[in-house]
Amino acid sequence: MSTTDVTVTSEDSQKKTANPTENRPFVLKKWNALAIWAWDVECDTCAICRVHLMEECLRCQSEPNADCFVVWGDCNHSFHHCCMSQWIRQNNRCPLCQQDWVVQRTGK
Amino acid sequence: MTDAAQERSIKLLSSDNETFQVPRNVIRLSNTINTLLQDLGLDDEEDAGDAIPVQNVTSTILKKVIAWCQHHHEDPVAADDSDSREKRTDDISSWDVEFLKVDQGTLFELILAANYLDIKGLLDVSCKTVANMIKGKSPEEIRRTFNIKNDFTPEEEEQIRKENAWCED
Amino acid sequence: MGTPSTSRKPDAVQVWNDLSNGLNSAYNREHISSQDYMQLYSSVYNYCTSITLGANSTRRPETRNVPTPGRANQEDTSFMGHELYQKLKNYVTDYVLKVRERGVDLTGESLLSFYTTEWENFRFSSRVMNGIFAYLNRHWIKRELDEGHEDIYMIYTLALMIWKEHMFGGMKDKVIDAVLELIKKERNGDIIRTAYISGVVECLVELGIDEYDAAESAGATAASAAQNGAPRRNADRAKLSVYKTEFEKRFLEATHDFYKLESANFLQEEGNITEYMLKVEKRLQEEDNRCQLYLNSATSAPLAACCEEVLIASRLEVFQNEFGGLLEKNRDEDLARMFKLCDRVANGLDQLRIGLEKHITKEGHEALARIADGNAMDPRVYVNTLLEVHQRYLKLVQQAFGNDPGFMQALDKAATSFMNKNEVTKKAPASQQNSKSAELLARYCDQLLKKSSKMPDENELEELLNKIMIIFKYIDDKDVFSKHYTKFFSKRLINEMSASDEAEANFIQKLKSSCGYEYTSRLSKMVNDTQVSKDLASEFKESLSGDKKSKMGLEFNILVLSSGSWPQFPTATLNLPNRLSSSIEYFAEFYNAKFNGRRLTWVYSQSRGELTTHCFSKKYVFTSTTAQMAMLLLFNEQDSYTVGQLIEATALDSKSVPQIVASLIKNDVLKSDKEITGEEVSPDTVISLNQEYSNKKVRVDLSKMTIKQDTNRENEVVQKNVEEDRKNVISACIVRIMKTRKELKHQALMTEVIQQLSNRFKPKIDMIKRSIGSMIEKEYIARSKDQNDLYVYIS
Repeated sequence: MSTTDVTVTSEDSQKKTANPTENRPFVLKKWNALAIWAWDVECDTCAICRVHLMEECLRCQSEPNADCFVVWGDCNHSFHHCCMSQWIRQNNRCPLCQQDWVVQRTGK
Repeated sequence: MTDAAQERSIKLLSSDNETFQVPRNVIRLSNTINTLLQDLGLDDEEDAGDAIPVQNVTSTILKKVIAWCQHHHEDPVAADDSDSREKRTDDISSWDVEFLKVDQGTLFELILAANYLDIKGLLDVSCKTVANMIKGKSPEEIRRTFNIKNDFTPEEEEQIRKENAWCED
Repeated sequence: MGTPSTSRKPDAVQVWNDLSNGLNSAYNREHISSQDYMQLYSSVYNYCTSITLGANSTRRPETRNVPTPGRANQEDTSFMGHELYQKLKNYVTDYVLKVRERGVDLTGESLLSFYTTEWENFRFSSRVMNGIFAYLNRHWIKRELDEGHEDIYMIYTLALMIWKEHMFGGMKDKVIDAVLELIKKERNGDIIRTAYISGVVECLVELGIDEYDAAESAGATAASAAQNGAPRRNADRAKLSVYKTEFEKRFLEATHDFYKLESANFLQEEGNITEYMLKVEKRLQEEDNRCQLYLNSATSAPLAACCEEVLIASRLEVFQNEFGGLLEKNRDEDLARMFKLCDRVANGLDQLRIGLEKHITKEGHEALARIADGNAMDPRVYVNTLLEVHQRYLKLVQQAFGNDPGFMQALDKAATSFMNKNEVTKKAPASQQNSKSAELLARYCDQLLKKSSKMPDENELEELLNKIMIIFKYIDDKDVFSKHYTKFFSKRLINEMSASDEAEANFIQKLKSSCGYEYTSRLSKMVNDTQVSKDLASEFKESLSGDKKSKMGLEFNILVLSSGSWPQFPTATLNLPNRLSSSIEYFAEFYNAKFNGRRLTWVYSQSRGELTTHCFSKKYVFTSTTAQMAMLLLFNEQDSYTVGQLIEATALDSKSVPQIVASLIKNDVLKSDKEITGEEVSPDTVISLNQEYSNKKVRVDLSKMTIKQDTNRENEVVQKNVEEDRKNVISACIVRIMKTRKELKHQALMTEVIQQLSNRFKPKIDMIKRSIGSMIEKEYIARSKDQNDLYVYIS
């Protein structure tokens, strides 16, 4: 896997910014940064299925190619979308704080 | 007549001393002659020796018998020739029908010869021909066909008719 | 004779005179001309047909020549036919009794010579007689048989029955004795006249004519039977009764005794297993040939069984005792021979299989013990040692043991034993012993798939990977392998160290076909992540404005991974140099606009960059970690710092700074006024730039010195994660099973879980029970109200 080079130093900018730094001992040339993304959640485990939110919920794990994303309520609690849709059929409250369940946002 | 071993000739002598040359492969159809040739080891000899006397068959009939064998010698061997198989009389080939359009005397002589020489195919087909001549005829018609004198007394006849009443109609 | 007319009734006395003269010729084997033959045949014909004629001539003169078998005068034909039949029977009986008279004092080979010659003659003569009396066969006898009369046979059969009763019945013991004696002579190496034996055998087979089935076989004189093979073969089977009871039984007994003695003597005197097996092989072949040459082929099977019983089955212990020794000495040829011989008898291979398993297990453990003291933890040496033992015995099973499934199983069992726990794994810390094999195998994979100077070519690599899969199949804890493999794989992806994307995909495919989709789903996600990230990076690059570009002022590459699929990376705070922090800022801006509900975490420990230097005699390019970069850039401001100042400036934790400083000192880029050992460093230690730095190379990788990771600690982490993951895998497995089955009994569920997970690890029973409990708690499943041991899926 090769990361795509984002060459930011154009010839113009080099003239402007490189000159003052040219004689410094060390000059930054390249950076390969690594970032990890995760759902912006308070608790990283789904309280319904006890599976990490970054992984598919238990039911989806038995089905290849399932699209299992995360849903946040107004209370800011978050769950697997599939787990929650199952849950609200019986009880339209957040399983953690018992507030009425209103979807605040869904993960993308 | 190219293959010497297979196509060599066998000499047959009729009762009226006429000699016939028959290919070995053709006379095979006569069980009697075939067994003789095998039992006496004549197949292994260059020269089959003197003519085999077929003392119960006249030259006229022997000629016909040989003609029949000649025509049929390449027929496939019947897979099942047991007597238990149901006999049909309507399966005579057209060649055989033509072949057996002969006077009664000749037909009976052919049956005798087929029996004597043990030629099963010929015996079957000639007997079937006779059977076809009887089929569907009244006793009186049959008597006429085969020129048989009625030697039953009227009482005897009545008795027989009673005994066989079940098979009328 | 000589006229076709049958109008006169033949004189019975005259006819019999003619016929008995003919029979004399036949039985004296005088020359019979075809004329004589036809004469005799015709006499029989005329004699038989004349009776019909005589009976009917008064009434039906017109039908005079037609024999009408169906309506013949029963009394007459019956009487006349019977008379002829009886005369014939008496004649043949007289003949046979006279023959027997001549042989009564004979024994041994002269008896066999006499018997076979007379039998051949008798057979020939009787066949001629049968031909002459063919008409009697076809009509009178046939009708008698049809009517179910007993004691009437076709003429040829009649002859055989007479021979059987008077000739064979009277001298069979002496004849069979002589035959057996002759066979014994041959077994002892003499050359014998096998024609005597085959003559007797043929006679026995022919005498086996089934008396109740006589009608069928009588028509089948040798001549006409040749025409249709199939019914003939059926008849053959029925015909073997005399051969079987009178000869075969005694023959097998004699064979048994002969080889019992021979085998005992041989083993006592020579005792060499190789010689014995060669001898047995030769004897079995000889006996088979004997059967084909001059016995009936039906004896083949019982004879082989008899020899196998005496020579092999009753000596199995000898074979079993020698098996281990042959394995020890690598006597593959002898092993193959032993396998073939023992394979011929029931249960002959059982002990050999057990012996093989024991031997391979021992060999495997010994091979590993040999390397355990040296560089055992070298993955290549370890894996090759496992392979060598396996390949050696795989070859043996394939070539010497005919790929026998039982032997293959023995190899599998042995391999599972020495591949999972052995002298090498025992060297590992106690908590890691169970997973050491899996770890070393994963390490070896990493060696092969990583860019290196001595990379194998495509075909070599494929072969090596296939060999790895052989071992992989035997590894108990496949999930541990997966953990380690994932760890190495992620390093290869992040650092772009994969030798070939194709080879990576190929190996993942192999794992997938061996263990299923789920097993590799994480690896596939990782591949997918890097692909998605690549597209994202291009998109970001295009979105950048010129102003932002110039503020960043460096080549910025980004890899964004999803947190669930990758191993955990250590994160630490760090004061980034300006250019780096603006790069991050711009990217975060771009990223958050694109996605919803996501949070980015930067992993500096895995982020690497390049610096160019201008402070040394030569210009260098340094590859370094982000922390190293941050630290070196501080020296743009001043030439020296105290450790305390460095900690403050970088915001790194106080434990990391000494490590990073140490790595840069090791590389000679920095120097310190005091020696730095261990983690505890005095904050007033002064660190300064080493102006004298020089290196032959222009590109220098400073990061290598820092990433000497503690594998032991890494392994501990893996081990801990494994237990946690197993719980999840078991739970997922229970849900999956219950989802399809809806209802399942406890025991059935346990069995199925164990079975489904068998290609990943061996789940502990109480672990499954606990998982079931938690699944009930979470209301995935419930206990049935009616049956306590029945679970029901809740959808």
